[in-house]
Amino acid sequence: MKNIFSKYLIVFFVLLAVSCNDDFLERLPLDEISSETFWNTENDLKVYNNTLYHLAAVDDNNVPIMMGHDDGFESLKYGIWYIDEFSDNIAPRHSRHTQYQQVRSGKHTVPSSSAGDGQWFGYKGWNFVRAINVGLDNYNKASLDQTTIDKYAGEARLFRGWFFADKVSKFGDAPW
Amino acid sequence: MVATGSYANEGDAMTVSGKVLSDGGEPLIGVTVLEEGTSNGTVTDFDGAYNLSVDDGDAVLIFSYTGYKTQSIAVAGRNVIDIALDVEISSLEQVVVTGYGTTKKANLTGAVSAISSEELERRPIASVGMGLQGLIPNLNISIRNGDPTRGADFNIRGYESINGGSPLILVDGVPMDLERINPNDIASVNVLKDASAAAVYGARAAFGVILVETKKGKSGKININLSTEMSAARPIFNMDVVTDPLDFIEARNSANIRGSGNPAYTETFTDAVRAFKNGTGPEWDVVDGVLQFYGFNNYQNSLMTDYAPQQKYDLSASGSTDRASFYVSFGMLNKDGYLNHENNENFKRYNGLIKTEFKVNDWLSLDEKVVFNSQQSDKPHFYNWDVNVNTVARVSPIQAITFPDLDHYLVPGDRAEFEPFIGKHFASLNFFPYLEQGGRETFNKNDIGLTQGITLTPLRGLKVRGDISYNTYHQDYQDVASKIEVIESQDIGSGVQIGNGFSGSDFINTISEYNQYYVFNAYGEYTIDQLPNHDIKAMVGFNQEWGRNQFIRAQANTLITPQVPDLNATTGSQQTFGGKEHFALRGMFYRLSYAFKDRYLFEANGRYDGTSRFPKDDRYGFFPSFSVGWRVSEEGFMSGTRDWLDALKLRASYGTLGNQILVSGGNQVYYPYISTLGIGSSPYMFRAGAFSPFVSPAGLVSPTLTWESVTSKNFGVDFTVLNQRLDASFDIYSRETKDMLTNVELPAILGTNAPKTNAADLKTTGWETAVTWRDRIGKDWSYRVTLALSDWQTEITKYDNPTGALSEYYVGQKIGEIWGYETVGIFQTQAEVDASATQSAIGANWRAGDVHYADLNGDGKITPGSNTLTNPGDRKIIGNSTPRLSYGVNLDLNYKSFSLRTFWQGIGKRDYWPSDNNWTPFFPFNAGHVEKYFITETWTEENRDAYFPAAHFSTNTKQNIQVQSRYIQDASYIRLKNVTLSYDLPQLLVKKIGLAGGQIYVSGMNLWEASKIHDPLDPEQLHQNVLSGENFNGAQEYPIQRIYSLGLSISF
Repeated sequence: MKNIFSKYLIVFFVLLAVSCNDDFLERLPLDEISSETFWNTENDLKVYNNTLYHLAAVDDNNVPIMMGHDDGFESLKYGIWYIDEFSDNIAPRHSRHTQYQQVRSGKHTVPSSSAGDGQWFGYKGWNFVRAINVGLDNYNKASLDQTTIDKYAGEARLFRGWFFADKVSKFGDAPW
Repeated sequence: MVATGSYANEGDAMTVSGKVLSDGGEPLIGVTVLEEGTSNGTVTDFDGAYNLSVDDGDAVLIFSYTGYKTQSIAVAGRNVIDIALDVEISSLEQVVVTGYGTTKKANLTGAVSAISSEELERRPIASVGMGLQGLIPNLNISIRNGDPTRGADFNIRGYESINGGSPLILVDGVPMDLERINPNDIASVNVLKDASAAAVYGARAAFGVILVETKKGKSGKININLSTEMSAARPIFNMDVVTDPLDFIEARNSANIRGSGNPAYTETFTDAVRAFKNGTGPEWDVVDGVLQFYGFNNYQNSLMTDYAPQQKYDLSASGSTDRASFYVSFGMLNKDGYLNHENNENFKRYNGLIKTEFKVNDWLSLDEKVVFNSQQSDKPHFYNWDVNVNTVARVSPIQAITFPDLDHYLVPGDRAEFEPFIGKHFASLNFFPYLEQGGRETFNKNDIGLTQGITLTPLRGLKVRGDISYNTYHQDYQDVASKIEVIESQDIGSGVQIGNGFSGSDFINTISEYNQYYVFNAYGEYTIDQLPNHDIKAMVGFNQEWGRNQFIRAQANTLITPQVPDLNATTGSQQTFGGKEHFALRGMFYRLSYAFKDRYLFEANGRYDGTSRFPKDDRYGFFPSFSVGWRVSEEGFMSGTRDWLDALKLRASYGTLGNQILVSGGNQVYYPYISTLGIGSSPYMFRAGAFSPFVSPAGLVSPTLTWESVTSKNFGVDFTVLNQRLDASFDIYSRETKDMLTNVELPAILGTNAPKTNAADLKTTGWETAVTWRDRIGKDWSYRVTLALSDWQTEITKYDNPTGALSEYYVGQKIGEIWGYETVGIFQTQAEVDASATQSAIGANWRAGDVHYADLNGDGKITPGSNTLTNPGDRKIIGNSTPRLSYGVNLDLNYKSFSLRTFWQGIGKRDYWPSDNNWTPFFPFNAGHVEKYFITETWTEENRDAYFPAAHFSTNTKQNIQVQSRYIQDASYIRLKNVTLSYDLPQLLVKKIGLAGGQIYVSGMNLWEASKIHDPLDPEQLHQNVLSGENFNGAQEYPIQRIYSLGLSISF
């Protein structure tokens, strides 16, 4: 009888180890920030908005609104100084400027590809708009008073308006 | 066994005689007959008869004979004992490990292959992968080079997924790196190939499972085995560089003249080289303050070692009583690298394994396992491609290597000034100073694994097992790039300039890695075998696994001294990095097998599997599979075939498995459904010099993201004929990988990368066969021939590539396709050039001696077109790099106590486009050296049938070495992977010196090969491999070696 009892006891322990909690398979990243663990404090909003300043400041290849001139060799390519080449104010002969000459002489074909490289003259930088929109979608998750949130939302909206103003001034219109 | 006899009184010394026969009734000659526990013994004569005096009638006789089962017979007072020995276990009774249980091979319905420990024994292999290569059909093992720290790539049944994928490898049920365990501890390797066999492993088993079982204590007395093996490894180095500096100068001159019109070397220089060669001039000179070397450096041969030592030691002890059994082993491997230098690479592996089993009572037993694996490597730091092993392809024979010892340098009497520099190395393209003075890249990888298992047999037919394993892995890695000193220039006019070459910025990089893993298994198996005609076995179980990996990396610049390579002894800038990830798996699985009348076999396997790698609602998947078997030979209507047909079975299986492992850029993605936010710091935001942190938006993840699914179908035949002499199996299969993740294109206005979606399919089809023939010739000879042969091909069946771009996959593409031009030949005259289609799109200045490409599309121009399927220009599919018809052949021969084993491995069909990157060895004048074939096989007006075009520097223009049919290489090969000749020391002798057995052997690995591939390429060391996804620059690496060994193994 004792024997039988201990048999069942061991089987019971084996089964016990099997029974388990539902969170076992819930594994969130340990070394990266995900949306689930962000958007809580004012500092979160602040460092998030820093990304907008960062792009505007150093990525003037894609986001040419500030003419930051800080992206090295490429930084002037879509700047206002180059855009003057659409007119006959300046007409450099270097091959790097061919694209502008082609527009001037009516030879430019609008690239069919929507990929980044197909677009010259700065018709890009949509990652900037996306960053703004993602922010605007999430700022309200933070448990802060509305004034604080509005401050960051306001910064984001300013950048978005600025970006589209730049696009409209260059291309006449932009998808909205 | 049959034993008959007449009786005498027990307790007295007596004589026993009799005959030993085979199970077929033939007398066996040379059978060892031993009185147990003594050295008293004899062997049978030509009639199989023996005669032996024993101390008393209680003695036990042991009959042993190669190829037969050893038998112990108690004399029990008999004077005459005739005995028939059974042949070693037949393949039909063989038990195959199938995962959470075992099956008799006869009842197997899935595609499973197995090998036993014997195939890995007595071979000078440094790792398990090396040993398994070619043994099991369609277990495809590729080894990139001869470096023992570079693990083999394992694959089952061909190309897996465009995102990679690999088989699940379990050692005693726990995922483990096979390369770290001791090959001598392996008892068996079982490969589960189809979905039916692998289904109990669910979402990890889509591309097959390799189950490795380690050895256990065997019944009988305690057996201690000690073995040692000494080897010499010689790199297989096929470069045959010119040994005459004038040949070199002439060859380089001709290439230079063709390119720029001028010779590479001046007349004066050439004359001086000639003068030294003829013994009329000096080896060194100083011209205008510049040292001139007119000699010959023999660099390639001085860098590669002739023979590097390798040692293996193994000690194991095992034993068992009716209550407990144990197996304990310790192993060590020490292997030096390929360099002819005291700072050669070195690799060591230490292994310890302890396994015990206790039978507590008739329904409970416990088992424990402790395993320790350690790998240690020490090699020179990699400074640059220019100063590592690839210098063998770059250093010219007339390059100055070390500062000369001259009577005077600039002016007579200035020797004292330059004396300190004598023997120091010159800077460019020279591995030696980096090897001599440079830092080392070292690692120490340790695994510790603990397992506790419990087995219950509470009722007849019921077995319940639970086990838990916990493994930790730790790696200590340190890479030291310390500064070295070289003489920067041969210009010593204004003094000798000492510099640091490629070691200008010195640093130490350390990584500490710590991984944990646990596995919990519990399953119950119920067998009903008392019913007539019905055999039923049901198994249900639970498995749960959890892993957590973490690493810390620290890098610090500027060592105080190379003598103290530690982070603490640095003064420069520092950086730290880290990372952690965790993941979990949980699943329930079952197996139901049913056999009716031992003829009709049915099996259902499946698993309900959950993984942490998918979102909550998508986390679980159910993966069922089915298989059936028909043992035709057991049917009544087959009774007429019994005398020659031992067994014939047909098998079929079908099943679908998921693949939870997503790979991106060669790394596993642990959280594919969670998009994470990037972080960074912005240097230029508000004021210079200040850094502001920022968090950037998360990328996109497809809301419909789900598993890749893999459906496999298998049909197989097994048969055994001619009294078990011939045993063969044949399988044909298809495996469809569906819903592979691919990149899709969305408009750029999305503002981020489009999420990967499950949008591509592929299908791999193939077959494999394994054949074994074994027989005896006469009394003393026995032999075995085995063949493992397999083949597969993979085709893309679904992929979104609307433009048909060849740079992407496309529907109908066979994996491994090589697109290239068709070569007409080499232009012999300018007239031929003018008359042919213009090749201006791929190069300029076409002349006689250049390659003539075929104008396939007839447009009068040779072009790559738009690189699309519809317009590939003048290119077509000129080959396929898929390794087809992989095979392995064993030819074994036994004569009395001698045994000769040979193993041949190869690939029957494979095309290879050699690396045309700069500084790689194959294409002439593509690197700095000149091989003899550059001269003999280069087109000149006198050598118009040459293989290669006229000499030109391929580093400057690739126009003659565009991918094309002429230079595509046939990389099929056969290689003699192993030869072992072993001799079992006579039983009588070993008994006399107090041993239980002894064996001495000589063995060789990679001793011979045949391949049509052009030197210096090795058909096993290719720079691109469709299976492993390998694609590196094609430079020379750690060569594969021929290994010669002498081994001794004794047991007592």
